[in-house]
Amino acid sequence: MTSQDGTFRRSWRQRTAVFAGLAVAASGLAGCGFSSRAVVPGAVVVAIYESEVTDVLPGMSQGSDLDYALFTPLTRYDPRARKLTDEVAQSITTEDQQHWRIRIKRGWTFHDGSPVTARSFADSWNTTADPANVMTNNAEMSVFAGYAEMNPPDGEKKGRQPVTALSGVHVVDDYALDVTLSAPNRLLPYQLSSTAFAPITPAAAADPKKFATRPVGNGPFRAANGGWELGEQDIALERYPGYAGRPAGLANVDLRVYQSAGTLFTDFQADQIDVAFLDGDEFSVAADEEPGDLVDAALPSLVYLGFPLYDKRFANAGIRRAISLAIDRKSIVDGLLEGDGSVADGLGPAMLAGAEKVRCPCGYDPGAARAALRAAGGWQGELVLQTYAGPETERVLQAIANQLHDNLGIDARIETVPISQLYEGLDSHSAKGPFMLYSGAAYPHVYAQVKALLSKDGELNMTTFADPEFQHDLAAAGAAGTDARAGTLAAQAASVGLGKIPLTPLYYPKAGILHESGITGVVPELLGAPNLASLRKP
Amino acid sequence: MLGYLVRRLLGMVPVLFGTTFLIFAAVYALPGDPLAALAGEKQNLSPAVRAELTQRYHLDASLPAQYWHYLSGLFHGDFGEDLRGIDVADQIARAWPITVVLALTAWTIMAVAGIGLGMLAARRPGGIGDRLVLGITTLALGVPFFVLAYVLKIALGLELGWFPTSGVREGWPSSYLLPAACLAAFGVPELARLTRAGILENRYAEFVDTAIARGLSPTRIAVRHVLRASLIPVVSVLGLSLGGMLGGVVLIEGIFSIPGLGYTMFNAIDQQNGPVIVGIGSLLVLVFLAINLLVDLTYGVLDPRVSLERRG
Repeated sequence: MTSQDGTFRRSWRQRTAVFAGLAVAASGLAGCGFSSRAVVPGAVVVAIYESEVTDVLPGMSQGSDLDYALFTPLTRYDPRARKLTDEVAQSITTEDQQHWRIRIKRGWTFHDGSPVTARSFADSWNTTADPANVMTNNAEMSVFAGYAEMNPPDGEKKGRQPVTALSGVHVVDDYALDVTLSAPNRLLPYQLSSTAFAPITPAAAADPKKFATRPVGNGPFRAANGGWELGEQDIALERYPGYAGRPAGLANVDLRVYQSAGTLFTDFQADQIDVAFLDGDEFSVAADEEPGDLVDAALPSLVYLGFPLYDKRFANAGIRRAISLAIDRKSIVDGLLEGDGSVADGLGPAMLAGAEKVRCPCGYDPGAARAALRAAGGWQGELVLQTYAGPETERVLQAIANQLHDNLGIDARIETVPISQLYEGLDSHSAKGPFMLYSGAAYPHVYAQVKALLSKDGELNMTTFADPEFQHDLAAAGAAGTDARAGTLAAQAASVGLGKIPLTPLYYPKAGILHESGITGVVPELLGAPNLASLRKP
Repeated sequence: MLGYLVRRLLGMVPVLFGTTFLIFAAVYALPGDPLAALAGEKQNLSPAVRAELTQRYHLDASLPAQYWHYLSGLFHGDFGEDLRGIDVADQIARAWPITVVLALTAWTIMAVAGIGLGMLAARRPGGIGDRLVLGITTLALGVPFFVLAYVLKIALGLELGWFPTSGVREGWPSSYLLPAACLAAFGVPELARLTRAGILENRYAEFVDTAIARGLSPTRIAVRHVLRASLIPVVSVLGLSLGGMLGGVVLIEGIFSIPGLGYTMFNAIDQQNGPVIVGIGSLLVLVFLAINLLVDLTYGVLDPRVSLERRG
């Protein structure tokens, strides 16, 4: 090695040492004390668990905290007090439960200052009911007369001029609407508490797409800067000073969008969020670890095991009864759900009006189950139980399969598929066996659950259950003269339906709102998410 | 050179159409009804709305017919709209810059860390530095990068609070460094080992001896001769790993809630949103092809022995 050679090799080492040092620093990535708060200084950060907020018009709304922040419907339901109150409505009255007069309070305005009138509601309902607007809440408008003419079956569409307004909705004057329903429904005021029935401006009715993420609502908050860009992860809300109802407690809220509950929970732990709504596994973890304060939020929903009645193996009610009796709901709720559910005793938890009157035959009695199975001729072959993919649903259904094996000796196995695939099978009547599903009440009265799950054309009736006695009782409930009577008759109908075991209730899922201790007024909305208007930061 | 470029560009056309068709067919073959996915848990999409959506997006048409509708849109520069009526090109346009920033940050980290660690190891083969690098790279190879992502997110983001745990609201660099480092981790070991091997091979090569004999300065020899010669395989790995990273961003952006192409793709797969999956998928294929071409062109610049004229 020459001396120059040696110099080169040494200096090569020195140079590489400097570069390597830089590289190690780069790969180590020394950070510099990080803290993150709201986009708007001083705003309270509330997490919203949704993949993307793409459209908040009433026709597309899902009853989320954002929907209730931006829009105020005719009535509001308080799930804690179990009480329905008029909000934009002055009064909602009827003589025969089919023809209704809705009077509207004066002084309500949209975020652009224009008045909320009877026309604003009619516009909203017509826009949603028009299939050309392809809105997800279209089906909810079927409560009004004229919906069927606007939404004819495929075969009858040809050659007909499309109908673009509901014949059952008539604007009397600026502050009164006459509404005719497609069938008597005593519980219309409950149904009208959903943001799906909130008002819209004439401009939004003319071009709904334009207002999808640039909403002009009539709620306690308005979108700061007029709206947000699609895919934006922060939605800034500011208190609407012209709000005619009880004003929002916070001047600014930063809604942060999360597509994964896990990330949401990590961010709460990292002190990036002030308020977060959690359900499922994350709720169980939060309940255990309690990084902040936790407010229980009941959900207006039910998880049940449905039977494909079109499958001959389940034609005998004795088989269905045996399966229902062999499921130990309490051990599932206590052992697997760890606090994020309660044992079902009807079709919905007590937060739903009228729910306490509905009771299901959901007892656990392995002896009676075996006897019922024997009487029904026993079970041959394998039993496949289906549900949609998710850690909690899989655990619960596996436990049920084990219980059916232990208590009835049935060789049961589970199959989980994506939700879209599961419903495709259910819609085409090709379920492989009993299926575990989630059913949320469309509006805060148990009548909604009874109708959706058990009536012949119920939107969540996946069992194909159809029973004339039940239909008769349900119709009587809809036509009842008072809310209380409607509740009693709905319970009677439910008792008839559930007695035939087209499905067996399992548990009511629960959720919670996690919040920093500095935040007060944490009250859940109907669907569990926090009521943004009631939040306070002293 | 120009002829080579034109031939390569022409060759990309069938590859692009072929892969687009494959992605399209894969989405078409997905079990489950996209409209049921659109309706979510509520499942209350009315029959009239279903019929309208089916007709509007040709959901009842055969695979070739649907693909043809898609292609004819593409010819007009139109990526189409998804089942929610949202323009796919808009979604790509807003997500694209974020992914580019993330990928380039990751790529830079990977290049600096990979080449740097390789140089460190090559300083004294068998020495402490070399063994350390061998240990680190073996460990990094053994741990899948998404596992690393979760661990680092909790350790550096949640426990130490050095980095945001999600989103890009802090902007570059603080929001991007941690996810970019996780993304870079999968390429560093290979790069470091290649660099080490290259340097060790070239350090005692005859052309280095010649350079030394000519009395060139040590810096010039290190950079212009040893490093340049050692970088030829490294460049190809760097180029290809930028393509590989595009696959990684889907996971990393999902884990860190970074609203780029990967996150959009993540959502789209979850919602069986075919037009978005195909749009982004095709775009990623296009980028991958472009990077490959670029890598091949760079060979000629780095290594005078490679003539692109003769390769065509």
